[in-house]
Amino acid sequence: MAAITSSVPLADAPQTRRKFPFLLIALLLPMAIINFIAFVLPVVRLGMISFIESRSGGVLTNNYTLENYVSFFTDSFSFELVANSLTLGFGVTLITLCCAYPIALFLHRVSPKWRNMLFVITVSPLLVSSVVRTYGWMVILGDQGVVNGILMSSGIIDSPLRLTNNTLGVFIGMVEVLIPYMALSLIAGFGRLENVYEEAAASLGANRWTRFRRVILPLTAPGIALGCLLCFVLSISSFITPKLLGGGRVFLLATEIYDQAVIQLEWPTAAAISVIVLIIFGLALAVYSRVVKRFD
Amino acid sequence: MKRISTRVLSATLFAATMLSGAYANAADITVMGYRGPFEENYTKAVIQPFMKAHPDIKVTYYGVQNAANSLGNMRAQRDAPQVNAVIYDLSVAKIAKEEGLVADLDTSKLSNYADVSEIGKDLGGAAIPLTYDTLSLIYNAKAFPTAPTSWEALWDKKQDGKVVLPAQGGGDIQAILLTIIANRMAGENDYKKTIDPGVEKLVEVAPRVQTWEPKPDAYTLVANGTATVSIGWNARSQFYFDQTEGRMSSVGPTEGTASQINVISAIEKASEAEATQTFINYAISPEAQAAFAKAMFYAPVNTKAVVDEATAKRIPMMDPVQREKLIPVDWMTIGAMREDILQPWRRKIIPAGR
Repeated sequence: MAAITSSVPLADAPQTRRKFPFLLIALLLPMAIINFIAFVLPVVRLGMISFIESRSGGVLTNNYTLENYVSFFTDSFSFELVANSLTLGFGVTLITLCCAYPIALFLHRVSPKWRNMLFVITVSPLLVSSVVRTYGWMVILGDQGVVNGILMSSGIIDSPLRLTNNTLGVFIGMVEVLIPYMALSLIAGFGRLENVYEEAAASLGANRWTRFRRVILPLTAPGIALGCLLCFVLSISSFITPKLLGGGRVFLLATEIYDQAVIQLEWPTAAAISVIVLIIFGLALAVYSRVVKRFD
Repeated sequence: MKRISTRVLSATLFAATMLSGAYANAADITVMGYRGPFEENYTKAVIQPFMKAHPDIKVTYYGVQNAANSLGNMRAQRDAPQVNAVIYDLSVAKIAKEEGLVADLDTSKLSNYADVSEIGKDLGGAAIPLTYDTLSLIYNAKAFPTAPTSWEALWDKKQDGKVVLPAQGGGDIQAILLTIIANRMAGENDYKKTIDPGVEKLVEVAPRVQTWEPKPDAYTLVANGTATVSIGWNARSQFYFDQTEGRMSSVGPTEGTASQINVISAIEKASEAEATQTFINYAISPEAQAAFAKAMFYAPVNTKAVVDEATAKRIPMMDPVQREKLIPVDWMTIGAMREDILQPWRRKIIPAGR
């Protein structure tokens, strides 16, 4: 074996080896520099701030402490924040998946003549800022909004339903904002799905439900995993929609970071929560890579 | 050819020397403060007249969303400040002073300082009082044919679902002041002793609250009828009263109200210290104070400022009766109590309205 290895043309091999890392480094260097400046350095700084001791009122000192993390993990309100964020993350992801999956499946199957146009329509909400869309939902769901207006004028209800300024409003807004992302991810992950497999299953006597459960779902699983990861990360870090549609009633990790930094002026607490959110993202990514490995 | 070149060179050098001399005498300073109507009116009423009177000093206004943003910028620019002075809230100024972000000016060098009222002078030359404002009850004029006179309007059962209480992120200065006011309404005058009665009173109103985080703000929601009653700062309320042609009105309730103090500080390590000091002295002068009071309805801090009667009537701090009933708030200790006052908002008051 050793003799075979040594019989490989030695004149070329070292040259290839020498050139390859150089090219690789040259290609990676610009992105690595940008990432280092725009991501690594700020995250390191964030981590450092999370250990700074602050006096009452938010005055920063030059001392370092673990207190910001200790107070987070010993406060029951923090667990409420984590629970609210995870509920929102999982809930919105699940609803978005249920809404976007049929759309993505339809787009995958529709004739190429219509596919492009329908695809553009599906992702067209992304052309409008999510802030503008969320303001739109405030108008639609408000006490004097379109929905309540129709329900009240038709005599179905006497007083307006509270559709916004609460968790329900945040869910509605978030699902609408995330549907295009989920649909895009699903379509991207539907590469392995082909009609012939369904036809084969049907020819073997599988009914519609069995075909969906045993053929379509497993083949589209990579797309589902990708879409779920993207929506979960986006919803758990979402800030604008909960701020605008939550009415100050929905306390989440992302809104807490803003409030601690900008309202309460407690930068170290805000930094500590940010680090914790980063860890949650890391865990989500780890789960995703394990799930994807299972389907490969 | 050689002679011409020498002449051209001499002339260029002369011009450059003259220009650099003129440039050295001019100062360019930046003042950071609240954006929106405050920026617009402050530029017109104070900065432009100042630049007219001091042609050698150019002042640029840099608008930020709130005092916390100002503090953030000051922290970020600690070693190389890009602004020379900052207009912000007294409670935030205390943090800035303790972190060494602002210069402690020698007030004896500010000729107008002696005429400044004693309210808000707690931080000396590090934060000089600039404007006084008060918390007001704001209401939709259509929803209240008879103008409310008491804070109790917030607890009015008829306003169910139409009450807006701004408590962004679990509350800021307005929430702190409302807690103190509710505490007094519930019979406890000393908020330093306990705020429990005030918290209980606010828990009662929670189910009737439409939103704790009005967007774009409480004034707009009350003006367009989405809400009927809320709280807000008097200066902005008066501004919106004019803007909405009276659809949104405000009142200084009979139980009394509490004040908010804006201060101006020179930034530590910033350049143009002398020009900055000249501007700050002008900002607290009777003419600048009167002009800004007329433009934006902030009570002047300079006791010699002359404000016309029509404007004074719309500023509760200038009404002797209201000033007498002013609820004392020690902004120097509020920082330490902030967490204790605001924690019940997130854990008790706001959840009671879910």
